[in-house]
Amino acid sequence: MISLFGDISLFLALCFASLQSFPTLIGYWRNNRYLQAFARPSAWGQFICVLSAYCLLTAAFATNDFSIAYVANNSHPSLPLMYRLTAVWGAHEGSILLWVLVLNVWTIVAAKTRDSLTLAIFGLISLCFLCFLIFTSDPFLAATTLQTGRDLNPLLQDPGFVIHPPMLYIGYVGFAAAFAITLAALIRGELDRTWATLTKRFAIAAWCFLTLGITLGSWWAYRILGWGGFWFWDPVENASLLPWIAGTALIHVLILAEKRNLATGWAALLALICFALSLLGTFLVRSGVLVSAHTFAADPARGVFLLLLLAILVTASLIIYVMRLPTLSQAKKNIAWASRDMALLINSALLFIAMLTILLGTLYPLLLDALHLGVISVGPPYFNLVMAPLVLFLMVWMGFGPLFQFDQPAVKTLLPLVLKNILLSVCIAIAVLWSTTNQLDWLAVLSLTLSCWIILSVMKSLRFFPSMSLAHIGFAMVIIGIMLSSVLSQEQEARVHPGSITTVGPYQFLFVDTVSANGPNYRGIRAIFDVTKNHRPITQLYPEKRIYTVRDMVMTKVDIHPSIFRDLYIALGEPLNQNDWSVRIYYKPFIRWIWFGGLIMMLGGMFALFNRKVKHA
Amino acid sequence: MNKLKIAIPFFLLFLLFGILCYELFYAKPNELPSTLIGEHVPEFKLPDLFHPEQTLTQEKLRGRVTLLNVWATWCEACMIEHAMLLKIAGAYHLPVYGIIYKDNKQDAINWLKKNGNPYLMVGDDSKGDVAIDLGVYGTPETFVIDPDGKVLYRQIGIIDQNTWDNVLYPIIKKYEEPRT
Repeated sequence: MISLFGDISLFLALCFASLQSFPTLIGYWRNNRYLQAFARPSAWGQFICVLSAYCLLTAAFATNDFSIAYVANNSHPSLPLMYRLTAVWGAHEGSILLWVLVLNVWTIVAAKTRDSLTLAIFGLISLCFLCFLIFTSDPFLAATTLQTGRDLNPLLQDPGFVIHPPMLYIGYVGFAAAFAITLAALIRGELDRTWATLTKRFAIAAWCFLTLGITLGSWWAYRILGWGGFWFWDPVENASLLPWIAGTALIHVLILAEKRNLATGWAALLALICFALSLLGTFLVRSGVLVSAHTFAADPARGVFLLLLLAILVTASLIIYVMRLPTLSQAKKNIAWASRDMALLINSALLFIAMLTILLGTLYPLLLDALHLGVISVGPPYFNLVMAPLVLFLMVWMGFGPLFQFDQPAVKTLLPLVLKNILLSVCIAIAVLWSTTNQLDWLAVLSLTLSCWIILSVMKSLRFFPSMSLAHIGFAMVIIGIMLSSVLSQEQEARVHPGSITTVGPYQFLFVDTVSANGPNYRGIRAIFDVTKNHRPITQLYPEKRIYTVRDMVMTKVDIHPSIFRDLYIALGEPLNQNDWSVRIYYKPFIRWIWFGGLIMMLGGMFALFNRKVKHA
Repeated sequence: MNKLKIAIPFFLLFLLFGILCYELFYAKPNELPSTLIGEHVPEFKLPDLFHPEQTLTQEKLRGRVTLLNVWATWCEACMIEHAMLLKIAGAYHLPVYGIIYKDNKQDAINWLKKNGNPYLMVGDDSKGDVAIDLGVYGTPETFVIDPDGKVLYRQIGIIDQNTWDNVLYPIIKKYEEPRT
C-alpha cells in the first residue's frame, strides 16, 4: 500500500513540476499573466506531494515495511527507531528523495518573492530530478524477495549522521535558489541592486547550512572513522567544499554588487557556478566514478542521467549568460587600490583559484585514467601542499580587508594601525604558543599570527557588522584548530594488558579491564581506561569494538574526552591474545576549535540573515 | 575573434563532460589491482594446522592451478563461502589451500571437523605476517595461482556460484584445459 501511494504522489509531483515550469515560461514569452499565475499554486502542490512521498517512506521505515526493497536493504527490526527514521536517507534512492524535498522547501521560500520566472526555473530543476528519481532510482520499488532487512550501514548509526546529510543537502540545494534568481534576472536582463540583495540573502542562507553540514560531517568522521582525522580530502568531502568556497566568493562579490553596483557580471557567473558545482558534486557522489570512503552503489544509468542533467543545465545557463553579458556591461569604473572594493575582488579571485585547485585535484585521477596515463589517487599531500600557501595568502588579505573603506585608498592613515595589529598578533602568537607548549614551530607561529591578525582586524567592527566579524573570527578559529592540532598532537599505538599504563602527552592511560557490551543490533567489547594527569584523576574512557551482526561488520567505537584546549581520544584495536589489546591513543590539542569555528562562521551568516534592521538603523 | 573567445568556455565544458561520460562507462574504481598479479607468490612458511611438523610454503602451490584461501573462524562471511569451497574442492577437483588468519588453532580444527575440510593443507598464520606479505584486505580473500606459482587473480570477499562461474572458472579453464 505504502509503495503504491508513494509512487502516486511522486507522479503527481512530476505533473505539478511540469505545470510549474512550462505554462509559466510560455506565459513569460507571450507576456500572458494568467499563464504565469500557474507557478505559485503548482509549487505548493508539488511541495505537498513530495512531502507526502517523503512521509510515506519514513512511515515505511518506522513500521518495518520490508515489502519495499529500499527499506529492506537499509533497515532491520532491531535497528533503534531514531536510526530507522534517518535510514530514509541512508542510501541512494532516499537521499535523492531528500534532495528533491529540500529543493521544494527552497522553492516555497523563494515563492515569497512572487517572481514566477524564478519559480519556473525551480520547476525545471525539480522536474529533472523527479524524472531521475522515478525512472532510475525509485525508492518505493517493491522487494522481489521477502527478507527481514539488511540493516543500516553501521558507519551511519551515529547521532552525527542524524542531522549531517539534511544540513548538507539544504546547503547544497540552497544554491539552486541563487541560481534560479540569477538566471531569471539574466533572462530579464536586470542585474540590479534588488537582484543582488535577494541573491545575497539566499546565498547566505544556503552557505550557513552548508557550513553547518560540512562541520558536522567533519565531526562525524572524527568520531566514527577512528583515525582521529577530521578531513581526508576525500572526493565526496571535496564535492561539498567546492560549492562552499564558490559560495563564499559569491557572497563577497554580491556585497560589492549590492553596495557599489560593481562586478555584477562576475557575481552572476559565480552564482551559476555555485549551483553547477553542487550538481557536479551530486554527480560525483552518486555515479561512483571516483573512489571514495563514501561507498555507494554505482550504476552507469544513474550516472548518465545526472551527467546529462548537469550538461543541459550548465550549458543552457552559460549560453544565457554569454548572450546577456554584452547588454549588462557597465561603465568601467576605476577601483582604487587598497580600498575595500579591491580587497573583496582579490578575495573572490583567491577563493576562485582555491576552488579550481581543489576541483583539479579531485578530477585529476579521472583525467589521467581517461587518457590512459595510469591509475592514481590524489590525496592529502597534494591538497595540503597547494592549499597551505593559498590559505595563508588569503589570511593576509582577510586581515587588511575590514580595515579598508569603500572606494577610499587610505594607506597612510592605516599604516600605524596595521603595524600595531601585526606587532600585537606576533606577540600574542608567540606568548600563547610558548606558555602552552614550550616549543615554537614556525608554521604554528605563522598561522597563529595570521589568525590573531584576522581577529584583531574585525575587533572594532564587531558591534556594527557582527555578521562579517563573526564569520571572519570563526574562520580564524578553524585555522587555529587545524594548524595547532596538526602540529601539537601526539599519538601512540600501544600493546596494553590490564594494569599497564601508557603515557601520551601529559596524560597517563591505565588499562583497567574489558567487559562485554551488547546493544540492540550488535555485540561488543568495552575497554575501561582510567586517565590521570600527574596522579590527578581526569576521567574514565570506554572505547568499544562492535560487531554488527546483520551485516557482519566490525566497528571501532572510539571514546573521547573533549575539552576546549585538548581532546583525549582512544580507539580500541585488535585483541592480540587473551589479555593483550592493541590500542591507539591520541592527544589532540585545540581540535575542538575546528568545529567551534565552523559554528561561529555559521552564526555570522545567521546574523546577516536576521539582523537587517540593525543595519538600516 | 570575439566569437572564438565565447566558444572557449563551451569547448572546455564539453571536454569535461566528455571525459566524465567516458569515465562513467570505462572506469572501474572498485577494482583494486593487486601488485601481486603476474608476480610469484611471496615466500612464506607456515606450520600446518593438523600436522604442525609439516609446513605450507609457496613451493607447495606449484604444478597445478591452485586456490589459496585466507579465512578465519570468527568471520561469518567465511562460513557462507565455505560451502562453495567444499564444492570447488569436491566437484571441480581443484587443489585448495587455506591460510587461517589470526585465529585460535583449536577453534579452527574443531570448525573444520564440524563443517568439513575443503583444504589440502591449512597454514596457521596466527600473527598475520603472511597476510601482510600477501596484501590481504580482509577475510575471506582468495588468490588464484598458476602452475608456475604466479598470482593470476585475487578475489576480495566471498566466492559464490556467480563469481565462480563468471570470473574464476574462466580464468582457471585457460590453464587447466591444455593439460587434461
